[in-house]
Amino acid sequence: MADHPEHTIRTDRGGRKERGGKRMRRYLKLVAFVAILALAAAACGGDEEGGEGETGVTGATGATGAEIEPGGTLNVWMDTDVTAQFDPQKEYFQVSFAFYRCCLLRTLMSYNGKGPDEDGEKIFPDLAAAEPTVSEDGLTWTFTLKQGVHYAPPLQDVEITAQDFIRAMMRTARPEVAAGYSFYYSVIEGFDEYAAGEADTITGMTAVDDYTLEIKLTGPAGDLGYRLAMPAAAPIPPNPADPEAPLGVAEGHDDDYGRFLVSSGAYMFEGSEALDFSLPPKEQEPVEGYQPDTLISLVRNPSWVADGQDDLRPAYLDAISVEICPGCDQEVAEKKVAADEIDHIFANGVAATTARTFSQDPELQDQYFVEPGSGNYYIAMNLAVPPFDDLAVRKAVNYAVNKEGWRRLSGGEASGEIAGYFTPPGLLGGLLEGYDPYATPNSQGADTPEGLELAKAAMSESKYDTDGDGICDAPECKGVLSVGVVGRVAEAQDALIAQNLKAIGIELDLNSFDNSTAYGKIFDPKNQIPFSTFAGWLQDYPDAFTFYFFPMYGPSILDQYNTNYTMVGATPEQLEKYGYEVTEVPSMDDKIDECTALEGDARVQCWAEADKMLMEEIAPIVPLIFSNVEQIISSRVVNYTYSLFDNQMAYDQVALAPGSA
Amino acid sequence: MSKVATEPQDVAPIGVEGEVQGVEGRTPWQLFWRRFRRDKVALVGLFLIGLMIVLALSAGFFANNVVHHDVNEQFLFEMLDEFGLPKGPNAQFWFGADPSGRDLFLQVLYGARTSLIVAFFATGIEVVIGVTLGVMAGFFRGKVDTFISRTMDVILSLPVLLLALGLVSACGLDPNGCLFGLIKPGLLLVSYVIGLFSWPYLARIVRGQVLSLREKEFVEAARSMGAGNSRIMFKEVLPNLVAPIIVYTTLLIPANILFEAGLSYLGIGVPITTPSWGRLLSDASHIFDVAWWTMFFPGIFLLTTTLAFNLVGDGLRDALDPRGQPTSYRKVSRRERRRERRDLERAEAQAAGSEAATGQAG
Repeated sequence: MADHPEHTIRTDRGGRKERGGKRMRRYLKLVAFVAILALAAAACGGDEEGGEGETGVTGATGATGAEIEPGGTLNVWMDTDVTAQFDPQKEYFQVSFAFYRCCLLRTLMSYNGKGPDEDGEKIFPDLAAAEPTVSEDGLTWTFTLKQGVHYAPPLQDVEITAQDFIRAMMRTARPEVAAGYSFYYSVIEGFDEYAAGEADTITGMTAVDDYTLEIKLTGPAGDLGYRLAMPAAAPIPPNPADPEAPLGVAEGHDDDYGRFLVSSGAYMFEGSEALDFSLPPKEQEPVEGYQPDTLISLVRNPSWVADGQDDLRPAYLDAISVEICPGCDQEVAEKKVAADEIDHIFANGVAATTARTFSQDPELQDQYFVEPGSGNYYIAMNLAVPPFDDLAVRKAVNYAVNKEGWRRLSGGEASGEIAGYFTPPGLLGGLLEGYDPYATPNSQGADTPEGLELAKAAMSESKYDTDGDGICDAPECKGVLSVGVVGRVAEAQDALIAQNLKAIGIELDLNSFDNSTAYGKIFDPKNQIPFSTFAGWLQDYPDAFTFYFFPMYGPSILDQYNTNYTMVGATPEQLEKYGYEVTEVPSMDDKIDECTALEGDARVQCWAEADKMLMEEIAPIVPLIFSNVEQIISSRVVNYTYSLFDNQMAYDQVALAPGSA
Repeated sequence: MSKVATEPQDVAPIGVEGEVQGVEGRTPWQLFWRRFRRDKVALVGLFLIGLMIVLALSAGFFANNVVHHDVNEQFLFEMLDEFGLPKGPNAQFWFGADPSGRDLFLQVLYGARTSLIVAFFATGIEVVIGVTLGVMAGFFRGKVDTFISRTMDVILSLPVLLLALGLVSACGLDPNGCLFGLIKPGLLLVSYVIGLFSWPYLARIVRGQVLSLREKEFVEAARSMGAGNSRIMFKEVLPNLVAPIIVYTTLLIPANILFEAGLSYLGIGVPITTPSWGRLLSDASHIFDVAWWTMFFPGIFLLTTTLAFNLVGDGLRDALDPRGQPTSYRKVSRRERRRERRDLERAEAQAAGSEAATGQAG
């Protein structure tokens, strides 16, 4: 999901994570077990014995033995609206992904809204009736759909069919829509041709019948299921008033479909039933339940209840009310959470002061959680700019950086786990647990005598250390341009890195810019930024491919908006085009291509090997931390569950305490 | 120089013989100082400014000989807790730590340097540009005035912060900066931004004064004696502007210290390795409720310095502009006022006695 939107990480002391996280996971396992039993009973038509609440949603029993009482309105606060007004093709943002998954859009495959210990990184059939069947060559995938699943009002009579998924892909491909991540679907046969206007349909997608979808690929893509679990692949209904409209109800809404979104999930925007698709698109009125930069109001989707709910989302809440407050102070909202005036803040972290308050106050401790994120922070060294064209220098930098100090400035242990490699461990199945080829005592780099010796030993192998004393003495090591972002934490971290590198003779010229300016600098390969201190990456979906495709893949190097800051994999032609004096850099492309074609455990194993190769043979980055996510909730919230896919509290899993709804 | 007399000459006592007794001429400087030194509050301000300058100059001494560490050394594990929040004052760190784990005492001392350097340098730029263009606008009037005044309007309407952001973006990547190294991120850039975009305030004041002064007789006299425009402007008119310029300058300095703080907050001020009070305050803004020292110490130094400059400014205005009612009049002690009154009565009595003696002799 591209880079971290902000360079702020928050934290808690180390023990908190254990206390909050593990206890909750044990709790959740029990809750999940009971909830699944209850849902299974409901799915079999069992709503006798009062299992059905007033809202039609089945209750469950929590870990404490207390009944989870369905109903109530969850009050949420966030300081930033979604980026594309909920257009499922355009949105490329963790926040909107969370709302889609929990509440608004069902996809062929989806997530269970849970954490890493409860298969939160896996996908399960959602609108698909079962796992897809895949041909032996991996090029043909066939999905069978569940029957009798309908859209939210006003299309409660329209059943979801295979053609609706093709319609979604067509909209994703259309250039005028400017979808956020259409590149993930180029692997579908005919997708690019349709996008280029050379075909009337996507030839690789066929609705064999209403409930069977066949997808043909141009090459193996073991993660196709994950790609189809993204919001852009969610079905778009036909328009009953205009059945021939190629994009169905989204026809004529290239820029604003999100405000006319027809839900297929457990919730819908309040007022959705008033949508009138019989009118020309320009005369239609958007839903009332979403006012950009102001509010999101979700209410239960009656179709979802009538269709017997679904297997992944208990959806206990009656409604979710989100206040959007751009420019407001999040710390004020955090205080309101402590006072139970707000139930949850939709954010990746909390202020350090809030973290300390929640973790030290016995009454608030159970309302604070530190969860594993799905992102990393790293330093990027440009392989095409001296002195970082020398592997020995890059290794020395890896040894020199005080990662523990960097993390302390970020907010301590709760801000993340010290990283020894690139891809977050959750995506590598734990295969690289404890792996760090540049480990130093307590991860303090050149701030320890042993770390300094290791860094110097590496540097002594460099051509830029002419006298072999472990300190770079070449002019290339003086005044090395470093780009970072402004902010107290980021700049203090940059100063620490500069201090560390000075010990091995590399003198950084630190430059800090606001976020957009800084990204503008490093997005352009012609700027030849040697050293970037604020790089980071978030998963799009739980597969290492999303980490390698842009930051480490040669063909992904772009003239603009380039996120391969290290230029790993750049061809000599590209280097010449961008004006680099260095003519050759190492590449990961073959390994990435190899891993992309694999599935299952072999795929995970391959990505783990790729990470080792990256760190040992190329070392273009200094991995700093695998980021965590801190969450605070009001005392009203029960059955707290963390969704690993979107790194937020799962609104489809939580409930409100009995009596507080 | 045709300094317009603003201070009535002391009445010289005249002896019974009609001879002038002990007539003592005072220069404008002496008159100014006589008035200024009576203002004890202004003197305290002056003392505080001096103290700040001494502290700023001795920051290196404290670092090397007292606390024995560098100003930017980070004590990440000693002075940041497990949440990354700074720890408070103790025997080794008298002011506690800043949010980056550095010694706040040294940061404050070195910050005095930055704040004062930026403030003085930027103010210098403002004064030079503002006075020059203000005098020209007021003196020449007509097209020159229109051009300069409209330029001032344009500059005052510019979004200074956005412009500063643009300057940093444009000049920040090249280590040599822009304009042959004239503009680089850091102290110089901050000073330029403040100076280049704030001079119109002073220029407007100067222009207004000059518009009045240029009609005075001494200007006509100078012109009738063949003085050129440059001479009249800078030799005749400008000396009469010293008082308002000095007064306004002393008020600009604290404003510029605060301006620097704002720019630093946005990352277009000095880099983190250059301590400044403004930056320290910005850093403290989110944690002062749990780390009071991060706001208190830089705040008290900033407050003291700006207050000192303002007090001195008031004192200067009173001393340089005796026609106006001194705002610090109440600050003059009763004893001094009694002494003044006594001196005046004595002088009047002596003058009356002298007249009587002269009459008798006649």
